[in-house]
Amino acid sequence: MAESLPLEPDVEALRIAMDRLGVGQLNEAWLEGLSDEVRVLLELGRKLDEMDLDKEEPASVFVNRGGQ
Amino acid sequence: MATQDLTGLSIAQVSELIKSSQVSPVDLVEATLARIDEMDGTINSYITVMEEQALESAVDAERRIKAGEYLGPLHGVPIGLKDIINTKDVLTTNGSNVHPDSAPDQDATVTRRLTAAGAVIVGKQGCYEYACAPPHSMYGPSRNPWDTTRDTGGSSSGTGAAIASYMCYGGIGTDTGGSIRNPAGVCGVVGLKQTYGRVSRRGVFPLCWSLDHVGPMARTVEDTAIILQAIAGHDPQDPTTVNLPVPEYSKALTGEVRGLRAGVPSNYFFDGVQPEVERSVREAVNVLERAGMIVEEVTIPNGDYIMPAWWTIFSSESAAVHAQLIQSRGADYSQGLVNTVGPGSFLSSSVLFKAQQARSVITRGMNEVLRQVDVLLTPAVPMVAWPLGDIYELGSTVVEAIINLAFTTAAFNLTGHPAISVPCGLSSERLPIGLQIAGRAFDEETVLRVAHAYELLSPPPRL
Repeated sequence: MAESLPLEPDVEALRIAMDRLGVGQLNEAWLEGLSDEVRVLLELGRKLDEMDLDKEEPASVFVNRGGQ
Repeated sequence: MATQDLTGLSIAQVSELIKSSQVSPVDLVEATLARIDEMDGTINSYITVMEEQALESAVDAERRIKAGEYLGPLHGVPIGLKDIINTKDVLTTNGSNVHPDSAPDQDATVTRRLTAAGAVIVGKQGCYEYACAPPHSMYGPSRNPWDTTRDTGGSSSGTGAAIASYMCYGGIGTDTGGSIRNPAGVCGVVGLKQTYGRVSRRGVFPLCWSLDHVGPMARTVEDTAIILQAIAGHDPQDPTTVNLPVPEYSKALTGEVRGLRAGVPSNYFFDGVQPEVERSVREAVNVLERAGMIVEEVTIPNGDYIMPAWWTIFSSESAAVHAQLIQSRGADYSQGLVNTVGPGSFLSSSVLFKAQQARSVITRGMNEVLRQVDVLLTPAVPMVAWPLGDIYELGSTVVEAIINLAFTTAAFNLTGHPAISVPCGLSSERLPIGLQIAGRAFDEETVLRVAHAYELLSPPPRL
């Protein structure tokens, strides 16, 4: 089973990303906190690698009702 | 009738008085406005009180009722709306500093349906910033009427607090991971997240398209059913609504549960729940069993993956919802909001699709459990109201805090099943505890039936 391997951004990468987004509060402590949030999120995503999902269709909200 | 006597009644009770012309909608609105004036300086549940419009609507309702045009049990009844629900020409802030003076040019579908049913919209109620991060400092938090040093829960905070403290008869909240059932649970009122697709989301600021629900809150199950009746049904302008007939919910409120089957999960739903909450919920199960329900233990398949899947979808969708706005107005976002909707930008699409695959498996498992039993009985909120402003103390990160707070409710946002929170007692500190009753997809009737029967068997504590 393929593992999900998204990159974990470091504080500097987050600083650049947040700066580009125009977020105004770029102090070190906050960026480190945000880095922790991203890390925990990616860990949760990796937890799903434990499931056998190869044959599963993803849940989807897309239905073409033909204009009805 | 004295003002306090009027505001303390249920929708079902005041509607009988209005219908029989014993009480005028104008009296009712005036009593509600007086109650807001008296209480909201402390509770802070409203962002906007629509005094002038509410009185105009009440006068109109009075005129129509006198002319024999009675519209039903919401006619002339003051109702509040969470402030992410659009109201034409009325301030709708989304609890954010980004829209401090925004007045939409159309009503949301739920607003339109409520007013078509004769409800009087009395105001817009405070909520978490974009229904996501704790209340923006611009508006401040709502306070729990049971203990004003405590939180109301969220994100439909003001709605829960206003209903509990008699500043409206019912309201509309939204629920992406528990935001109706959580404040209902900790404020001691009733909150229903009906099946995904039963109620339109059009005109409500999205948080996560596939997890968001718009639903009713009230002081009693019967009142909750009355509001659901008014807002449920297909909306061609919301492609996720389902074109199914809407049952007459009041007919489900028989007070009888004998022979119905209830499942009490042996995994997931009681993990890490405060002992007092668990005791109250298990006692509620005993009450229903003594009334003739058949109670059995059930196992929730793939419980360990519910929150990883929910949080991955939540993060991805909320990041997409906010992607454009945060680029233009990021400086006006609170740090808490950026910490919640920002990280999803770093998820890959393959992880999102894996979560959607997991969602299929988890939903199928929940459907299988709900073929064995008619309803599931669980805690609504794992804890009683926490100290005001301490939500991020509930975990070492925002993710952990929200998971610790919302895992009981978010499971049914992931699967779309209907779930209600109904009061089931008080803690030793006299803080409300909620019982969650979840049912099969589009079977709100059984959920309401069990909740109503429980409410009759064990009347909720009132302030």
